[in-house]
Amino acid sequence: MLSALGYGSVLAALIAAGIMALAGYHAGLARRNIEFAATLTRRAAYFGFFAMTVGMLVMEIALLTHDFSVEYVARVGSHETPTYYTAISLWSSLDGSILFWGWILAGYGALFAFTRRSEIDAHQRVGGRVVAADGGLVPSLKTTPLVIAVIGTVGLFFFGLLAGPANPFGIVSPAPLNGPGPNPLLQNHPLMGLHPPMLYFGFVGMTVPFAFAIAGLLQGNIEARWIRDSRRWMVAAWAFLTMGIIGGGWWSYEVLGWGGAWAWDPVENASFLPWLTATAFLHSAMVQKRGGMLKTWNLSLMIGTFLLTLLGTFLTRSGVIDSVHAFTEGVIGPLFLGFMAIIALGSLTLIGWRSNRLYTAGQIESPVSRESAFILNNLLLVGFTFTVLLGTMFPLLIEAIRGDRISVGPPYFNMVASPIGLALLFLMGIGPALPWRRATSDHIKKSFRWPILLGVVTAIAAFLLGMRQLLPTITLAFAAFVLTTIVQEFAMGIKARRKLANRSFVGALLDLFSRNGHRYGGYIVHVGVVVIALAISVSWTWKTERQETLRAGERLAIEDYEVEFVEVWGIEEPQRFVIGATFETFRNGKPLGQEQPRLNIYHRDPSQQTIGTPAVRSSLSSDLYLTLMAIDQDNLEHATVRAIVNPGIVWLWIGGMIMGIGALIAIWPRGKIRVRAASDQLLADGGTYQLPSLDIDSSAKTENLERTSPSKTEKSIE
Amino acid sequence: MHRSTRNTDQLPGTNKRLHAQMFIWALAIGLSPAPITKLIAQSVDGAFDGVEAPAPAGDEVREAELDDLTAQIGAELRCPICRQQSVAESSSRIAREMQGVIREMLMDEKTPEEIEAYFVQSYGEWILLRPKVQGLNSILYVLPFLALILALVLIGAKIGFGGTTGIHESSLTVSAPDTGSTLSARDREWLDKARSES
Repeated sequence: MLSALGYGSVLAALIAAGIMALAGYHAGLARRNIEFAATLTRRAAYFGFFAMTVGMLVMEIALLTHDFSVEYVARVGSHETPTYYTAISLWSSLDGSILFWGWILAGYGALFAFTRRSEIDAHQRVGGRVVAADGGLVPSLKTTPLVIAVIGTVGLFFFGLLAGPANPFGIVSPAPLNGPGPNPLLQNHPLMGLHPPMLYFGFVGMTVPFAFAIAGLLQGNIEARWIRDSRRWMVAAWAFLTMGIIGGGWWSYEVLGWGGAWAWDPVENASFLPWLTATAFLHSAMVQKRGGMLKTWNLSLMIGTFLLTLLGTFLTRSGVIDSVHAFTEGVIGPLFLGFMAIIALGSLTLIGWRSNRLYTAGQIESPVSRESAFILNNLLLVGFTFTVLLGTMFPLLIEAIRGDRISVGPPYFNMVASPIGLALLFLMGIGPALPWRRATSDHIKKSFRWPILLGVVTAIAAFLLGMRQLLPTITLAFAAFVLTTIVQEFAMGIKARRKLANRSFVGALLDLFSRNGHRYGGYIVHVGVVVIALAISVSWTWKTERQETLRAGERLAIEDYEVEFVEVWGIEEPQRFVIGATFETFRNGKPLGQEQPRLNIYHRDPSQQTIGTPAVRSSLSSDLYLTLMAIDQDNLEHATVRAIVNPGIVWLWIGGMIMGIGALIAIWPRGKIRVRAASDQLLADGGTYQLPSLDIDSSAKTENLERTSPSKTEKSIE
Repeated sequence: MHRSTRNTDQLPGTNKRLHAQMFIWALAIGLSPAPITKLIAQSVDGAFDGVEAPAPAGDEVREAELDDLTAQIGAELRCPICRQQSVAESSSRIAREMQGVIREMLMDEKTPEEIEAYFVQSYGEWILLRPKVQGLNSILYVLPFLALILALVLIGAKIGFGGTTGIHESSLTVSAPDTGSTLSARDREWLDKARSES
């Protein structure tokens, strides 16, 4: 029953995606019946989301009611798995992940259609009459149905996978009485419910900017509003991806037991690659927003980011990472590869076809300008992407060419990542302080006097205080440099705001966020990055560990901590057997409380592997991280424990949260106060700032503003 | 070639060159991977050199040194049964045994190179987490560097380090879109409403 309902809704979503694509392309590209097609596109997007929601709920019901006649449930479910992990086992295996992916994709399609609903109505109203040149609609009106059409096209692929090779709703007959449960690693920590959805929201969200890219190419018009809107969707997806990556690091730290958060595992790299190109886009889009330059480059980044999300899924889901030869065993791998090839070739063809319209006469005026800083940032980020991609794919290439296997692991990636990361950190202090177009020498003196001074003073102070390691010293100096620049930017903005609007300090600060959240939210993101950079360099440099076998009452001392072994215990839980050891922990002689690192053996895990659960005692200065390595199985008299002291690692998660908050400020809808903010901005920036969007809507609004009476304006603005 | 179109407030050539030089220097500090990486490697290696710790006597010094070296060598070797963990990080039994082997070989006065060679002989090149710079592997080390330099040169030419770049006046202003004028007032109202909601 559930199988049929689920499969039926997948088929319905597939049809909806087909209609989204057909009607959407028609509305965007054809000349007749476009009003009808545009409305149909929007409704199909809503319907597709409805169908996928039904499909996902059906799967959740099947999982929670342990309906083992559904193939996916038979594969990942078990009666013993706790309810929470049963619910989230939706994304613990391939087919369920694709179902979840498809649901999010349909959600993005519907959300996009919804945010533009009145535009589609306007489309209906003005449709035929706003014609002139090519008998179609004005460019930005055509964008909406085209974007939905591209989302529908991508949907065809994913829903097609669900209807065919990755069908999670297959019927198992006779239904087994119980299943194996999810992969033990995926039911060992509650964080598993958090970061995978974040990653999926990020990955799938990259489809929207990609759809913007294709829509822009199809209609041959990439105007100011197009880049602004696509950037906004990219910021949202990027924020999810950021949280997903940081959350994944946190999960790995809390579960995997080696005391680190990032191992340059291919799965991790797969999430990092699109993050890098998306970050590059967020910066280069600003150059286009301002002067129309870098159109082809931005299109390439949007398309490339989407391709990298597909590549990531391909790498992690086709088994190709374990061996090139695993590739041909499944059908998913070749399908993904084929889809990627079609997207890449199609996009290239479109870019080539439209190349004459993508040219902008603009040129970077001076190497000492914000544009140049952004371009260098892009160079570094794309270079970083290339290097990580090369390192991730290299073992596959070697295996394909020579037949033998090599490893490319953390030592390689850390070696290339540290200089690039430091250079990016450094640029973060330069870019925001440089004006657009070009900087005068006065401006440079004024902007960089304090940041450089504080950077140097910090480095010297660190040296005098006994810091002799280069990496944290440089990071610390750069961090001081960047933070000073950001504080300066805020100070200037607040000062201007207080003068202009006679606001209090806090009021002026809030004004900056509400009126120019793109910019000041972005600076908050930068603060988060600085915090993370410091956390990485500090925890990497001063991490210490010690491993000892202890008897009751014996203590292990590490840094300012002490760990005293109390006892070994075991409990039988429905889904697993848990062996734990209790330790009393002390810091500087003061008791901190008990910690219980554990080892788990899951009954239904065929490999019967021991999965550790480390005990982590966090504080802002350092974490004490205990992993149970072995116990005395005969007499339960002693236990071997590994203790790691990880300084500053908590700041990785705090930095991630700061980044998330910054991104939220940046995309928080401000809508109608834009125009006023823009004119204030013009004054605040001492005239070096141009009105941000000279595209049709803001100029039209400015006219409105002039036409209407002041009181009415206030009302419409707030 | 576009000199004639330059604004009058453009910086004099010397000043501009100075700025360009400053900028290049600033970037060079951040960008030069080779020396920085080397320094970082040294600093990381030096991190456990006992600057802070009170110097223990005799055997304890030897023990601490052995621990450090074992950890350093272990960090370069893959734990054979783990996904992407090094011998130093992994808590698996085989990794701990390998740590023991490393330590024993160190006590037998073997060099780190000899120890790595021993493991390569047993497990193949796959055991090294950082491939040796030889043969095809060199691509891994040379290509990113070459690409970065190439891109820098191309972009340097584009953003005017060459000094021959002028300004296109057209780049300074964004032309107003051409569609607005064809709208009637009523349609424009519609459009405004539609756009403000997106």
